[in-house]
Amino acid sequence: MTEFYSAFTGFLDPLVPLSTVLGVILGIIGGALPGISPSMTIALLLPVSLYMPTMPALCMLLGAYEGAMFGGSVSAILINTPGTASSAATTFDGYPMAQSGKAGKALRVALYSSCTGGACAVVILIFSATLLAKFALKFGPPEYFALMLLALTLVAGVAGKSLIKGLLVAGLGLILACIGMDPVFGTARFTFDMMNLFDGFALLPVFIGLFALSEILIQLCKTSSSLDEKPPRLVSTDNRFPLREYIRQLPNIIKSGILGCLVGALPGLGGSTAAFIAYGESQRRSKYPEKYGTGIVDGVASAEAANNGVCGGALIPMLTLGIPGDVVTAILVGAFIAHGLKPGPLLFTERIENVYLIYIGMLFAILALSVVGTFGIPLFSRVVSIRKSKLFPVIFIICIVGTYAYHGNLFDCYVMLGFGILGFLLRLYKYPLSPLVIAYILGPEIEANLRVSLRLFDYNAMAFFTRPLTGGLLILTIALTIFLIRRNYTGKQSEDTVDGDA
Amino acid sequence: MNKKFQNQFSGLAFLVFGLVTIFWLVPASIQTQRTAEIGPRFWPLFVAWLIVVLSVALIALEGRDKGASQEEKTKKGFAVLNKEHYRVKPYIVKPLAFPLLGGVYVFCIEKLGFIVATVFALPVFLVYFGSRSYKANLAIGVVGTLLIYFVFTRFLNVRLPSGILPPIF
Repeated sequence: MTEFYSAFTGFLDPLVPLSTVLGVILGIIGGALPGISPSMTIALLLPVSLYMPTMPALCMLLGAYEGAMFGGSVSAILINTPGTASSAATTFDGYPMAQSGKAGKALRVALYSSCTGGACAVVILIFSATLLAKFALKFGPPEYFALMLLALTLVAGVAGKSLIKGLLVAGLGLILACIGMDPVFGTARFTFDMMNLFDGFALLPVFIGLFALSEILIQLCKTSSSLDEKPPRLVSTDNRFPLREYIRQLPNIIKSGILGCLVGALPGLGGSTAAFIAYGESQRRSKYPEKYGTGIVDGVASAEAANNGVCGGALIPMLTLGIPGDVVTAILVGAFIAHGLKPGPLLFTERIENVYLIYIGMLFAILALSVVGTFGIPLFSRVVSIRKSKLFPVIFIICIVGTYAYHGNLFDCYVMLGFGILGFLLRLYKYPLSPLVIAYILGPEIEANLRVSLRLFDYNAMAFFTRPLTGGLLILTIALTIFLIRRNYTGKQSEDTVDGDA
Repeated sequence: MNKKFQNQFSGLAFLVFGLVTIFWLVPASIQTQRTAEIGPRFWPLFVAWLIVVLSVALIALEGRDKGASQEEKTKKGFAVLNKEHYRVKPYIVKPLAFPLLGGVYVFCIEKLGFIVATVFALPVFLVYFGSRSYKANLAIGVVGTLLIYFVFTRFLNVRLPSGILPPIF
């Protein structure tokens, strides 16, 4: 309890709530701009956060995460272009509502559903994380190796349409993670005597290059005239979302929020999958399923509650096991490490007040989202009208300055440009980026745990199967691989699970 | 590009990367530890072999041209890359050239400083992205540069390269 009071006192430092509100505002703006994903928003905010104290910085990023997940619905509703992949399901009913003069109402439904769904997920996070962390304390290197292998296989399998492609980019991420010093002997690897490579590639240029620059390059594939086009905006005559209607929607919203949280807790699935599943489930249980897609409140509410539910869910494996399940949590892991906090079970024993502060920050971010959203909807609606031809060059300069700010080193900027090209080519050839970035983060841990385990087992690899949990996880990984390969070649895979919201 | 060709082409690139890693990158850049059973080369080699196996699997399984059309000539069930597939598509030239322009910009930051380089580069980038209003481009170039410089140097205490100009804020 003392730690909770200490965390609460920490939260009363004005910088923490202020930075959370700032994060929410920037997140909504980022999410609302088509082409700027939550991961890109957070990657761009990461360099700014490094110049702030730890907790305000992390609360700002978490606020931006919540804000960006809602922000995607603004452009989905107003211009039928989801600002984020997670908001794709919102367009089904959101845009028809806007076409019939109910854009304001649709945005309010999206806002309050996002807040309620997000709050449900944070409650689940609070109650489950401590238990899971306590259990994870019993893990040794073999268990960690098996768990990380399972997470990576899952991400590789579900992030794109092909398990092989997912595993190939994960392999590329593991090789890139080898650059620098060997974790056991300290031998230089792939450095070719270049001093800048002795610590490997810094996380920030990798993130900004892969997510921000690659998106800018993808946008450049479009014609100049389409980039310079001003998106048309629809006029709204009905802006009300009465309390009575909200209460009627509450079971649908809570159910979708919980579903979103559960999907978010599984590595690799992400917000778009959660939103589509929740939308489908809501339609299946509805008394009037035929009306879905024509512009009804239920459709917007379920999709939006689920995609914000993902935020809390994705933090469960990240905080308790140190395993990021999607791209945004991978970037958050980078932010935690940069601020000297290592996500994992030890965070719950050694720095529990920070964990409580994160919970409080998440709940405050949701509250801030509801207030900022309520008053800011007219303003944020204008953001979607910004021409891409004006926006992306400015973002490119911010990418360069943000990368330079990390170490004050222009070498990082060249690295960022290189990773931008890599990310662009991989996306062009339909490779998911999330396995690459998660493998890049987990790579050193997987390698170190494997080597320590093998030494423990006297270099007998079969000994992994003598430990029940490790053996179980490895068998699950093998079974999952077989299942995913079968699914790939029997053509039963959904077309929607593409790169979990990179 | 057809999906099958995409898979074949990219699978081939991964195969080359894996083989180059195994036969050149690892031997040339990682020293062996004779005393250790599992040395620093173990993990990169393990992953590189995995990449080789997976890329062969990608070419074999997903590069197969089961439903080939008459125009996409096939040989033993595999999609065959012809001259047309190697031709660089115009829509990817612009995005691939942009990082080179970015590289020149980064080089100019080092030599001329952030403000001078960005005031000239930002309008160029705006035109590159299709912004036609030249007055607006110049205005964004100047205002945007100063705003970014001010935010990063004043609020975040980042020292951006001043180059030929003295720091102004």
